[in-house]
Amino acid sequence: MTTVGSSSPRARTTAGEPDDLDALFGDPMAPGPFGYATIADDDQARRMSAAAESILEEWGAGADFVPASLGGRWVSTEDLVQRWRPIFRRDPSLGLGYGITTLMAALNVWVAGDDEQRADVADRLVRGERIAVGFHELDHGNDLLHNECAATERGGRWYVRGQKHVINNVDRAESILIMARTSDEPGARSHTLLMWNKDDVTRPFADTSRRVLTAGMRGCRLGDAVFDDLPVPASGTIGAPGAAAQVALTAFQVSRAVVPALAIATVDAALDLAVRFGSERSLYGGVVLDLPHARALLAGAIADFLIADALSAVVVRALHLAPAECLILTAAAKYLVPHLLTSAMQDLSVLFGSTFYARVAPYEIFEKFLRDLAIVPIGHGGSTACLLTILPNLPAWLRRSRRTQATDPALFQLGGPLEELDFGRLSLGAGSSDPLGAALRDPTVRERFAPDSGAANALDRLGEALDELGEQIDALTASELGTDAPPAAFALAHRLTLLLAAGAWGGVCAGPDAPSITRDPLVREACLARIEGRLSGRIPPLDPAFVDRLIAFAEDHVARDIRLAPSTRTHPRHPEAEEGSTA
Amino acid sequence: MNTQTDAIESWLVERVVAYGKVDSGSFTPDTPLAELGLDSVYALTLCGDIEDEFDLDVDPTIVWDHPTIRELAGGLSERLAAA
Repeated sequence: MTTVGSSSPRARTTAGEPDDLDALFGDPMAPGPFGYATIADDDQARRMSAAAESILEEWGAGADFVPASLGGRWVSTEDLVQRWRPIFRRDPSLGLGYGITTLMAALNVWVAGDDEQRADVADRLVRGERIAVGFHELDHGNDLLHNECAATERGGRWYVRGQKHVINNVDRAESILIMARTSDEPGARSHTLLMWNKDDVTRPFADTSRRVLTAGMRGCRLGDAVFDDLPVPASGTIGAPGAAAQVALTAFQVSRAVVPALAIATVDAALDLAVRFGSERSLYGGVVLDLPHARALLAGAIADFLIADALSAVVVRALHLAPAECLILTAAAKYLVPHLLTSAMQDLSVLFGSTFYARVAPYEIFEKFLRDLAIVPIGHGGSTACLLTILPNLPAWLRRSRRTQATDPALFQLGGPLEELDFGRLSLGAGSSDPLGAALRDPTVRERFAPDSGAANALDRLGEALDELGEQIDALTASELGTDAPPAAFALAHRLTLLLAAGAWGGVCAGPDAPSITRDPLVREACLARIEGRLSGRIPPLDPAFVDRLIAFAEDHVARDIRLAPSTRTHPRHPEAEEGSTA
Repeated sequence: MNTQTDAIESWLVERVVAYGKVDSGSFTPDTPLAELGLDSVYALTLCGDIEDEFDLDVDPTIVWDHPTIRELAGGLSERLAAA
């Protein structure tokens, strides 16, 4: 059953590591079919880059979303993220449009499909086919349980009637995974997942031709689907009838971890551009980066970026190492990482000034990045939906936090070996521990921080903030934890995500092979100070010593054409090789 | 076993009344929990109360799979017996 992929010519991609996409795509700053200038033109024309799509097809991108046990090349999700970052460094809409929606659809099959369905979807993906996620209805947004598009069963077939809106690739995907209402009862057992393969039947039962135009992710082929008694064989039922909500909420934990980790690459590129711009652009008798205000903006963006990178990287590892805890962890990542990244992008847009809004070459791509990233906090588990996942789980988190004595150092060992994901261990519960909160005080983390250093003292204060948060959660009542929760309750969920990020940052800094930048005392302290500032609700300017250090770090990496994200491993990271540059 | 299930059932009734969405006596153990104002948030609260009372970690899906007090008491009693 699992050898299904071997019949496909592209199964060869499963053998060994595929080529680095950075090399296949070429330097984005240089003119070329997939350079920034061309990407900006394609975006303006609302089309996907044909050159890039054919490279991805040749590269066998679909095999990345198929677990190795089913014939694909997905083992470590961290490696998957590394392989896909070159795409997000250049064009997030290509990443989303070419692949990520297909991953999201396939995840439901990996979670709940039977052997035959898993083999079929694996084969289709390895062949390069796409699957659209037919869940969204504009009237209900993230409120999936009220979706209306319905299916009724007659004679071994489902008949689907209704509409789905703003569905990526709805027209060109070979299959659509439809979430259909199959019971009139309210609640979480009234929807069913149906895989519609268009080669079974299309017209006149379905119309997927209406495209929706958007401000960001313009190249994506978003559109609506209208079903008019579309027949779907009963064999296309993914999971048990009525299980759609459970399956989707389980499966999307993986994409809630992966998408923020990929968005890191886009902001990495934006920071790279900002450093180049700031050192080139003359202003007031110097360059932009001579100006204290511009330096503070850039340094703040870098600090936010480093925090976001640590949280997203650790949560990706948690899929493998702490799957039972991932409901809260992935919601935290999908909430806070886009929040930090869009904040960083806003700061950088001020730094770029007129170059941003007039889209001046060679920096015109920045404006597209900003629009594209604005979609990330909305799409697929919007920010508020992610806080709403955390909110009712706050009391459960608290119980686990209070009984968690230690963290798991493997979570923070970026690049450390991971085995294939066990989808069966993801759950809709709160797990049994709080590994990120525990990292703030865990001795294995703290022994790597010099006693009484600025960063160690910050970790102490953050640990106290965690206790204080616990007391506030204790005082909440159930009526304050739902969709109608008061802003103060939302604020507690927000604070929790910041404290989990602090734990992730502390843990990454303490990792055995920690990236050199995270061993720098000033950088460690700067990021923790940024988190404390965000917890206070008003972000104070970073200390000038932090600003200088963060900018020196960025300038050095840009000069050497190295990615800024500590989690990126495309270049060898030997401490001795980088030591001189970070001193 | 039956005694235990009965005890769990009474405890669940007590909890549901404590949430203040329905008056005691206005429902039976067979009334769907959804009709008792137990939305997804209260389902989680109930899970928390179950954890505290029985020292048993449960997912909210237990409420989806056992949508009435009687069924939930049965489900819990099985889990406790297996624990």
